[in-house]
Amino acid sequence: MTKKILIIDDDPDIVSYLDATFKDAGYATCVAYHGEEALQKVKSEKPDLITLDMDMPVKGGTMFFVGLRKEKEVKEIPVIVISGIGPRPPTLKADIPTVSKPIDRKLLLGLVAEKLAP
Amino acid sequence: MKEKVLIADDEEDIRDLLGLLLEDLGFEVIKAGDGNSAFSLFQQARPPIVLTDIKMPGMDGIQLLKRVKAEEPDAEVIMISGHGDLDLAIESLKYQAADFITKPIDDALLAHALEKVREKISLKRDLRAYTENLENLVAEKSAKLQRLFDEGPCYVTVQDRELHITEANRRFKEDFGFTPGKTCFEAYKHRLEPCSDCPILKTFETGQAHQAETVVTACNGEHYNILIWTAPLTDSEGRVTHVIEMSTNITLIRQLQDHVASLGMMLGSMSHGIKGLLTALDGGVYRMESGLARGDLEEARSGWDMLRIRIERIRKMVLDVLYYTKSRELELTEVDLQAFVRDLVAIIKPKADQGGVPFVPDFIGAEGTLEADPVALSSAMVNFLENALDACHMDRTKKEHTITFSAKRSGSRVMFEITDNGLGMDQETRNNMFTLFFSSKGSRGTGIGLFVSNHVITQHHGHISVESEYGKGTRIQVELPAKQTLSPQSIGYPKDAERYIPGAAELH
Repeated sequence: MTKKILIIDDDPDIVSYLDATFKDAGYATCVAYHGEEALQKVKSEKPDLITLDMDMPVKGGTMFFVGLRKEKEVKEIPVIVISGIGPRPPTLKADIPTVSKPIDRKLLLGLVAEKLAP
Repeated sequence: MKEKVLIADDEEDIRDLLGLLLEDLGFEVIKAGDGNSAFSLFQQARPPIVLTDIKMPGMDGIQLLKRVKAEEPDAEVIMISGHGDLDLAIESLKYQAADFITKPIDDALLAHALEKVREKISLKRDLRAYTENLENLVAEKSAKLQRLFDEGPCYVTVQDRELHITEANRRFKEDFGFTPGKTCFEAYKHRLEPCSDCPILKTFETGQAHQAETVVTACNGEHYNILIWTAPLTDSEGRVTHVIEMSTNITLIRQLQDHVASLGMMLGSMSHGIKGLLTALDGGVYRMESGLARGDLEEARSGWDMLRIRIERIRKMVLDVLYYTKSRELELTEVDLQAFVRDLVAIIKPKADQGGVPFVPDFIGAEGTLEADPVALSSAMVNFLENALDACHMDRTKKEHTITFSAKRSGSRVMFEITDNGLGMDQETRNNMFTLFFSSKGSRGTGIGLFVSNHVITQHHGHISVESEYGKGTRIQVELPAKQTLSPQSIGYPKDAERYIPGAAELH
């Protein structure tokens, strides 16, 4: 079955880039432009993996992550942080991989495949 | 050197006797036979010692004493008294006779009296020489101190409890002027009351040295950052009567520091923006290439659109940075309002068309002229208009977007209004929108554009009001006076930029 990835980023161009990258690699995608929208999408779309930008309006990456961990049925969905900010946001757990912008596509697709492996 | 002695006596024998005695004692002798000629001789020869008989025809010895003392207070007069005038001799002491001897003359007593007088004269001379020397020394030293005070590489003032400047050095006088009785806050700040946290008042209170930093305005209108040190000046009883203030001009250091600080912030904020920008460029290239590879022209066009927009952003970013680093004066001219807003439409309309956003101008009532710097004002307005476009571009919640742009004249004011129903701003963005290096656009903003816009409008003595709600849209109103009656200031890199740099306070 095709795995579905939720792309969260407030920059539509970056969303479209990630969207094309994942679709070309054979994944299904859905998108959200800030943390709040993303929390709704997590429930309605039930993605298998989430890529998360940190710096967004309304609700940023950190608060999205906090919201995600509260929901029992979705808290185990793997998350990959894709962000231009810093090395790693401090409130995230150590086992969340971080890909910094500009994105190394091979590295990102490798990480995605690893996280989605059964 | 032989001391000169004037002998006044009407008896020639006595004159000769005294003359011989005195010459033996080592004096040079001149003689007069009565009071009047004695006085004229005194005036000519200026002897330091006068020996005079009391009883003489014409002017007597007492009168001679008085006149000599009036003429030359330092001259020493010894009186010679006969049997019948001892009372007069004693009285003569009241008129500051040095001594008296009685007839018949005892040479030992005479020698003793003269020795006393000679000692007195020599002491007086020493004292005078010493005093003169001391005065010269003091004059020399105080001239040197004054020179040091004047040439010291800082501003030095002495102030009393009411902060009146009682003394000031040359540098202070040159840069801030000096009117006796003027207060420190008038001279430095052109204000009517003392500054809060005045280090001088603190020194009056505590008797300790204090330190402060402030910005002052010189006579030539320049603003200087100064670092102030104060120290108490006390009277003989240890009370603080005045405070001395030493201020160093640290404007250059502060400017450099501000530049370094803002350069650091600029690089920080831009590195984040540039990372996003590069990611989006990668995306554009990727989508264009994969579109071309698959023969999917639609995909290739989307990729190209991404690239085109991003290239435009890079251009804008570079121009923002260039604009920010350049400082220039407002160049005010009479601007035709209709022509000005139509030029703005010509800049924005093509971009709006490209993004598929209807752009609705409304220039009914945009009549007459406006006094402004058209280049600066135009770039400020373009920033607002482009932000409206961006807000529509970023908003995915609505399908249809519209931007309206109106201008009208209302009395002596000109009003611009830009509304969009794009993304809108949350509270944080609204609070920080005019802050230097704050950007809500991530990869697309430098955080310079609106900072400069706000600065330009402020320099034109205008006012910006903002209403915005996230998800709904934004309304920006810019109100400007049609005439610039107040003095314009430089724009670009503003002198008071630190007010806008968050966290800059810690650097001071």
